Amino acid sequence: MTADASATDDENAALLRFTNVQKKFGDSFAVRDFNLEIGRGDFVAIMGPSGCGKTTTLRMLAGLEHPTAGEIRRNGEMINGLSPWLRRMPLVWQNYALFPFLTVLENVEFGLRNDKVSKIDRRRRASEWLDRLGIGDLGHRSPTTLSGGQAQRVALARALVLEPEVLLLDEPLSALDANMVVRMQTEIAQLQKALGITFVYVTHNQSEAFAMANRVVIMNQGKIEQVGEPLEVYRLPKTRFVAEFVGTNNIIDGTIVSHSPSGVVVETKLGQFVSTNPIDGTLGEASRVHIIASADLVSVSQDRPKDSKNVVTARLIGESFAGTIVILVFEAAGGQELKVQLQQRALQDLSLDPNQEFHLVFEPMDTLVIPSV
Amino acid sequence: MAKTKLDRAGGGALETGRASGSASRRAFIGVFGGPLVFWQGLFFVAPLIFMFVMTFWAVRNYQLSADFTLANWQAILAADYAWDAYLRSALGAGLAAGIATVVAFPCAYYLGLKTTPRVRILGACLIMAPFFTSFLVRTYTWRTMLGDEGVLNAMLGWLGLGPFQMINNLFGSVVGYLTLVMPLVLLLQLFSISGIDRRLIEAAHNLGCNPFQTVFRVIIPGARNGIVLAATFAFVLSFGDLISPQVLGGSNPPTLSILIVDQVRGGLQWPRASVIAVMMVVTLGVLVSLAMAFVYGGSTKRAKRA
Repeated sequence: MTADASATDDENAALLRFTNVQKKFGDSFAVRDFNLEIGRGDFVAIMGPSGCGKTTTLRMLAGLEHPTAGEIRRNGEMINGLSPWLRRMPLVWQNYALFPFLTVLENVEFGLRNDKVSKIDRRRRASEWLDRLGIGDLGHRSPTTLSGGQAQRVALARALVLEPEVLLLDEPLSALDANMVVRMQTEIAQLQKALGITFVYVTHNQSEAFAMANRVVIMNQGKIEQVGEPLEVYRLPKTRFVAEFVGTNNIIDGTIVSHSPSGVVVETKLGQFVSTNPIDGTLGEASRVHIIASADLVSVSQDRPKDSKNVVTARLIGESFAGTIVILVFEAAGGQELKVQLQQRALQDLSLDPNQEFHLVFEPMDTLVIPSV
Repeated sequence: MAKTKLDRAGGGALETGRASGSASRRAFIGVFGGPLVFWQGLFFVAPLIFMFVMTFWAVRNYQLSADFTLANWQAILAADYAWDAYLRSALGAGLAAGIATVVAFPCAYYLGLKTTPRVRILGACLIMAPFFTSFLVRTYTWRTMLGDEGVLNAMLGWLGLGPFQMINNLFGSVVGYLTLVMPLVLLLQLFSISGIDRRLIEAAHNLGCNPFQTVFRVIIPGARNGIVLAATFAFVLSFGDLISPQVLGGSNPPTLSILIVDQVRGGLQWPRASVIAVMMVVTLGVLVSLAMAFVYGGSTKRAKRA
């Protein structure tokens, strides 16, 4: 009865909640000061470079690692020390971890064998999932004979057949070729919407994270750098690390000269910049800051604009083509490198004479000011 | 241009390398493999054929003479004592293989998966330590342990139990067989268990198997080949062992290996001894083939499915 009462208290609580979670291996921190809430039906992508602690976080959710300090709660109930086999939080592994001594169908049935389900029922449910993922004809094959995409579907079926509340995915697409990645991305995103269950997805690949997740967690050196919706994290990076890790951003160091409701003026070695975006409340005049401007929001002009603010004169030093978009690399005063991303078509109107000077224009509304650490 | 030339030169060098490589590889195989083939041919295949031929020979006035008679086969195949010995040998070897497999497994599991690499190496060394002492010495030691007035019965006596007869019977033989095969079974199991992908074990935990269920659903299927091969070797070694049934089993009733010795000692019945030996070789040949088919047949069946 008391348990019921406390359950009602926590009804509005997040499905999963990390509070000051810390994980140490020996003397080094794999994860620290980790605070995060994950709601029911969320598709959360945890992203960061290798060694940032994202996989350790996922393994702590699965119960394969236990936190050194802090609390992990599910539906308000602490699960720090709960054994993995009691959690029912299936994991889709980077290299699939299919059992080579079982057939595909037996692999999918594996998790159901501890449930009180009849053999016929078990087999039917496993087959249904294989059909749903489009690999119904592979049931009698050995997993060792499957292609990467097929193995990935088997791994998904093996996890989803348990009808879990939460599905954990550890870089599930990293071993697939580029075309297959895009296909599986769409399938996984659709699957998550259709099932309405929570997905926690770990990846180092931002396009995967942005394509599927409705919340993105950026980690670096065991800590969360930023949490938010994909577009928010992409457009409004809060730290220098996020600005470097996500998208293609220009980062210029500077100092705030004035601060008014109409905007912030920052003095840099490339001249003055004005930003009309809100800034961190702790920042005042003379604060050391970074100017952040996404490469796709900077425009290039051959004629000198009238206003001298937010304009940098630079020399073209390189370009890289990536399909329909082109990234132009410029060098401004003091060796500062600046990038501009253009559509292939926009490039045709511009003559790319390397000896000519270009003027890069940073719109005040597209210019961010973040604190320098 | 220069690049093409370079490529061509490189390719040419590679080809010559490959040609001389295959010649030198053949030479390598000949030099290092040859002696083994020669040895096996001279001291295993040839005697085996000779032994089979001898089963048709006759013994007259304690003299072995070349002949073609089925009398030896008829005598042995019709003799109840021979079939009793056959079953006794198979029973003892089967018990040894079964007990060794079951007893060694927890130890191999622990050493293979639950310890640090340092402890695993130490464990493997300890497993091999019995090989430092002659098997005959180890068997005689068991006599002092298991004898009617041996160490074990003395200890049981303090508890008011026994004495139990633990030697000169099947129990004694099986203890001897286990002494012979246990280190080998343990090592083979250890190698196959430590080769299991740890992620599969974590995947099993993640899919709801506790450690006990994981043993039966992942560890044993994953180490299946090693476990089957270890048990097969245990049977093969025990089935042919002479020392255990003689020193610890009391020779009477005899096993096939003791029967062979008796045939030769009693009446220089080399042909009849050969008949028994051929029976043993055929039995083990069939058994090993079945085990190999089980171990490797599984993988070919799987490949066919693709």
